[in-house]
Amino acid sequence: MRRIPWVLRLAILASLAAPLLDSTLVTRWVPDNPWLRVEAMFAYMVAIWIIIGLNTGLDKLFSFISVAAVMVIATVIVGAIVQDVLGLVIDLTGVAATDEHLVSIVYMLMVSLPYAFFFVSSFSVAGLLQRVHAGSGALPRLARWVPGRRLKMKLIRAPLRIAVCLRVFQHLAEIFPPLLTVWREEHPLAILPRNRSDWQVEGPISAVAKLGNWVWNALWTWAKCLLVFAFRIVPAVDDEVRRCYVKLREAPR
Amino acid sequence: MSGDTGIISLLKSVPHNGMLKVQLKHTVGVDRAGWSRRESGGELMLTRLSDGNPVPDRPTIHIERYATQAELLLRLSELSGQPDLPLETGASPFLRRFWEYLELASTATNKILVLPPDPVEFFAMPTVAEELKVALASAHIDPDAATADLLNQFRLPPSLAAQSIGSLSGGERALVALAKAHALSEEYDGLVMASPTTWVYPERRDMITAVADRYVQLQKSVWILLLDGQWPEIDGCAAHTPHLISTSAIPWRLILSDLDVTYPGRAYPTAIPTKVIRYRSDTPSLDLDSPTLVLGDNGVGKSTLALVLAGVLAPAKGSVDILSSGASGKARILMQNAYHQLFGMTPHEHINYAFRYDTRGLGTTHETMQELENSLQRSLTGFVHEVSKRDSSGHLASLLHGKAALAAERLTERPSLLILDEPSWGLSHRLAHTFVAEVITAAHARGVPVAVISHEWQWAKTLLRSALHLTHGSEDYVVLNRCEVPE
Repeated sequence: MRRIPWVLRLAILASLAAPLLDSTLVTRWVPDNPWLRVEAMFAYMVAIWIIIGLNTGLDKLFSFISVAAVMVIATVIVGAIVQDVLGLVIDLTGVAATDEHLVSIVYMLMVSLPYAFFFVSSFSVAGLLQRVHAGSGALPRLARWVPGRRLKMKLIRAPLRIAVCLRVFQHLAEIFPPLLTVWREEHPLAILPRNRSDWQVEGPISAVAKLGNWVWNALWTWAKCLLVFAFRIVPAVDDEVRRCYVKLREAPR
Repeated sequence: MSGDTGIISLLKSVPHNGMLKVQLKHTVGVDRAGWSRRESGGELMLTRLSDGNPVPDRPTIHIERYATQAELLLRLSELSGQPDLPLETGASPFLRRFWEYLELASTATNKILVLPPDPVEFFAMPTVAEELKVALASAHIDPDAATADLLNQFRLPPSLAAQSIGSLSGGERALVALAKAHALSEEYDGLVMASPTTWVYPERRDMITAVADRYVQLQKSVWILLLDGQWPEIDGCAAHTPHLISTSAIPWRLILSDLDVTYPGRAYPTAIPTKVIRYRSDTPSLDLDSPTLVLGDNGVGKSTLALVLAGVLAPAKGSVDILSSGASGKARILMQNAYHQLFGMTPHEHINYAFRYDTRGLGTTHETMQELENSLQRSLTGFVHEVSKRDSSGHLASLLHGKAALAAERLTERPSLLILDEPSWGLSHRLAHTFVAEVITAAHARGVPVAVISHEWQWAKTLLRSALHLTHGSEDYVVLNRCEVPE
């Protein structure tokens, strides 16, 4: 994918993502049947996975899918439980429609997360800066038509902001391996705490409750860590991008 | 302005119970006016540059020594001109503080390049090649050729260019950071290096001085900030004279069988080849005495071996086992960035997290922690900051105590080997020596052998009883040999 010119690459990736914004782009072509609509979404998911897998290799694809699967477990299962509990209390009309909606959320999550990782890794920040240098006259020329000094500056600095955002999202995928190493050292079984001799002291129901509590805490811990580590790179990237941009702008083309 | 020490200070105040242990102990509560800088040796140049202009009139290499990491980080922040955010915890929302930091950072005009104590904080790009290309950004040069030249100059293999920063060892990162600092020498008014020797193999320290010389040649100033005891040769200061510990050696055996460890490559976005480390030894087993020093060149595979011994990495081929009389199972590690291993805001929170579902283990670990705290207090009289700093709930909290909590948690399990990977990171040699000595005492009392991975073993010389040397052999093998602890 990276060998394709960036404009074409962006267009292809944007068109692949369109059904994520409007699922009817997939389902409108099938007869009005909930199961067929679900199957169409499944086919879309597999097609996106194949495209990602062909580019990144199977190992990378599986790691993307595993992250998505964790997200699905965390969000959709909770949603399904809430739906069932509500169903006991009130008579939910259109339960089939709600089920279909839940299934579509599963598919969308299973597509959107691998797609997001694939999208951000399809562009290089260093390459973006080089291109900004190559076309560095274009933005100031365009800015002439923009009213207001603040807006002009925002337009001229837009590539820098995009470069920083792109790099931060790329970094989000890069911090998994070192965090996973720390996690595995503390949790050799990955999905269970290392020290759990009290696990079944109060019976199996208590063990299940403790497991649920532990899983929820683990997910929350991961989410916070990813957020903090992703932000951590911002000052260094911001500094580097600005320095490189200024240097390239001053250099003769 | 470069690096992100400012953001680290900010992150220290993020209230969470997460896997990341952010270091509130590094900077919180330090009185700027009360710095206890100490001169070590008559030739030491101390320059207090608090007048807002940290660039002196003539280029010089300034060597400054600090008793604690907290003092060193404050000085680093002062030299770098980074915004000084209020450090009280939990006072304002994280995002607002973060935004304030960015606003201030964007107006910073200081042009001093900062190599932070942890080199990973120096990098902004995903791969070595991109990092160096962006550093070299110029329309006049061929970035690929210049990157290859730079790697060659720092005695790094050309294949490293394709590697991601995350896949490098700590030492390789330090060397790439030096290469990047070299590439940026014409753009900055000065260079600050914080504890640069922690990660670099002694035979490669000439690269640190080469980068410093480069800046001086360009009429720019260099500050080398060290913790007491680090790199005594540079200014002739006396190395820390350690006391002897009274424990006897514990024998343990490393059994190695054609061990291969594979780091898988990737095809996208840039092709990174698969990396295979092949460990071999002349004999099927190596008899060692704890405490054991593990030493070897940067990138040779010391930390990888530790991860395999701990069961974190699975071997692609062969096996490695530990035989020790008093313990069994896998090894446990205190990693180079040990504070990343703390699952809690304070050392005590970490212990509570690790033993939430194990009441007996919790009690034992708190007892071990108390034992370590008491012995550290006894041995470190005078180190008020490091020994007495407390968290909001009254528990002791500093980098030293964070490491002690991790050690206590690991000792409760009685692993087959306790591995301390570069335990001197962030500690002066006196603190490092005392910490390691007390951990060894506690470990040996429980029958657990200890291995210390370090590039700066002078501080631990009197503690160590044997050494395991990893060297590059023929046909890309990494050869393991028992040897005497080098002088």
